[in-house]
Amino acid sequence: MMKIEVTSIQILRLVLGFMISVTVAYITASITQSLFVLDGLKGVGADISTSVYLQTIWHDIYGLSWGGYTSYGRNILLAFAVAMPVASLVCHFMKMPKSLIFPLAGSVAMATLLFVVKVNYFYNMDFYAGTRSYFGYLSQLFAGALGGLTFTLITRKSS
Amino acid sequence: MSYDVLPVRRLFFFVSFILIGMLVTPWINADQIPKYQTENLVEGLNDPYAFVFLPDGDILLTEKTGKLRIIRDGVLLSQPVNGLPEMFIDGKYCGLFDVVLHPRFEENHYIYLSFTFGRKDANATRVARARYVDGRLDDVTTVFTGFPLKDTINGPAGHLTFLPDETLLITVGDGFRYREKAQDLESMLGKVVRITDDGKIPLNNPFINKAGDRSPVWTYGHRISLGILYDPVTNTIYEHENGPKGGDELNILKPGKNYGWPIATYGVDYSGAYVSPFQDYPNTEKPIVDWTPSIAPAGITQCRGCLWSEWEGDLFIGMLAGQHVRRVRVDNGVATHQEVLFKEMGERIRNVQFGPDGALYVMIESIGNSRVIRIEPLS
Repeated sequence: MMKIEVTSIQILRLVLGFMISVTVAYITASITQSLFVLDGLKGVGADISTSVYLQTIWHDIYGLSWGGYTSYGRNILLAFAVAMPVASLVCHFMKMPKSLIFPLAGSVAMATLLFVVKVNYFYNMDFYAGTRSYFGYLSQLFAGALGGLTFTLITRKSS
Repeated sequence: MSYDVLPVRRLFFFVSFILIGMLVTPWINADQIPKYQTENLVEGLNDPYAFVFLPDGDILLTEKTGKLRIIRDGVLLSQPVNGLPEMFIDGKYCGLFDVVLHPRFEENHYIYLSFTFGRKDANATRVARARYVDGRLDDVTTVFTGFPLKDTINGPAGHLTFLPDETLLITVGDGFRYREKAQDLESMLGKVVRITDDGKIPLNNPFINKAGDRSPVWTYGHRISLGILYDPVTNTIYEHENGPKGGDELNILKPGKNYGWPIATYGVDYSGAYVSPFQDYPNTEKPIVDWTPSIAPAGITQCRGCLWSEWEGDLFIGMLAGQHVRRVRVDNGVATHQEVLFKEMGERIRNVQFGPDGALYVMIESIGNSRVIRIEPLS
C-alpha cells in the first residue's frame, strides 16, 4: 500500500515536472523571441515603450501557442516529450548527472524543433523571426535548457 | 395566456423568415450567375508568371523556369525566345519574373525583364533591357541589380511599370529574412526603385545615399510586391504587396514615402507572433486597402476602355490564395468598392491583364494545368 502511494507521487511529480518544464521553456522561448523581434524594430527606428513590450510579450505567448503543425507551444511539448525520457535513460544507464543532461536535452530538443520546422514547413527559412540572429537562436536553446533544468529540480528525489 | 401566444408568434416569424429567404435566394443566385464567358487561350504552361501584349498581336509570356514564350494567334509557340540573360532559377521562388515593353517599343523594340541573378547563397533581383527582334533577344544590357546580395531565395518580387517620363519602377522584395532592411535606405531590399530606361538614376529621385550620390530608392518599407501599375488618367501609381499572415495591402505610391513594413503592418508572422505591435506608425503611409486574412495579391491591371464599360477605371487584382480576381474601385485615393470575381473558377490567379481587345486575360497557376484564359462579358 505504501509502495503504491510512493509510485503515485512519483508519477504525479513526473507529470507535473514535465508540464511545468514545458511551460517554462515555452514562456522563456516566447518572451525571448518577442524581445529579439522588438529589438530588430528598435534598430530601424521604432519607438518601443515598456507597455508595448509587455503587450507584445503577452500577445506572442498567446499567438505562438496556436497554429497547428507550427504552434511553438505544441512543438515544444512534443520535443520535450521525446527529449526528457531519452535524457532519463541516458542518466540511468550512463550514470551521468541529471543537472547536466536534462538542460542539455532541453537545448537539443529546441535545436531539433527549430531545424525540423525550418526544413519541413518553411522552405529552409527561420519560421520564428526571433531566431534569425545568432543570439536569438541561442536564446531559444537557453529556453530549452531552462526547461530541462526545471524538470531536474522538480523531479529530483528529496534527501 | 401569454404562454400560449408566444410560441405561435415565434412560429409565425420563423415561417415568415423561411418564406422570405426562399423568395430572396433565387434572386441572389441569379445575380451571382457569371455574366461572362471564358475561353482557354493557351494551356500547358510551366510556372507562368507574367505576360505582355505586343503591338503586332503577339503575347510575350514569362515562365519562372527561365523561359520567355510567344503566343501567336492563340497558339503557344514551342520555341521559346532565345538570347535571355543568365539568371538564377531555384524551382520555387527564383527565376524569370516580369516582362514589360518600353513606352516607345514600336520605335526601339526594347523589352525589360526582371529575374533573379546570382546563386542560392548570393542573389538579387536584376532587370535587363534587350531588343526583341524576330523571336530573339539582342543587345541585352543589365539596367538594375539589387544590393546587397542576399542568401535567401524567398520574396524576390521584381515587378515593373513605366512612368510617362520613361523612367522604370521596379519592386524589390525584402528578402524575407532581412525584413528590417526594408527601412534601410542603403539597401535595395523592400523598396520600389526608379531608374531611367538605360539604367541611370534619375536626378529627381527623392533620396541621397551615404556616399552623397542619388539613390535608386523611390519608396521604401515594402514587403513582397507582386504588382505595380501606373494609371495615366489620374496620374496615380498603385502597388500591392503580400503580407505574412494577414496584412496584404493595396497602396498608392508617392516618392520618398515610407510604407511601413515591418514597423507597421496589419499582419502577424506565420508563427502567430507579432511582426510588429503597430498597425500604423507616425510618418508611414497606410494602405488604401488591407486584406486580412491574406489572399495573396498577384498582378494588377486596370480597365481603361475595356469591354465592361461599367468598370471603367477600376483596378483588377489577381489573388493566388484567394483564388479570385478582386475588382477595386478607387475614387480620389479612397477604395470605395470591392467585388470578388471569378471565384467559381477556384483557381490560383498569378497575373491579370486587359488585352488590346478589351477582354480580361487571366493567368492561372495550377499544377499540370497552368494556362491563360480570356474572359469577356456575355453580350
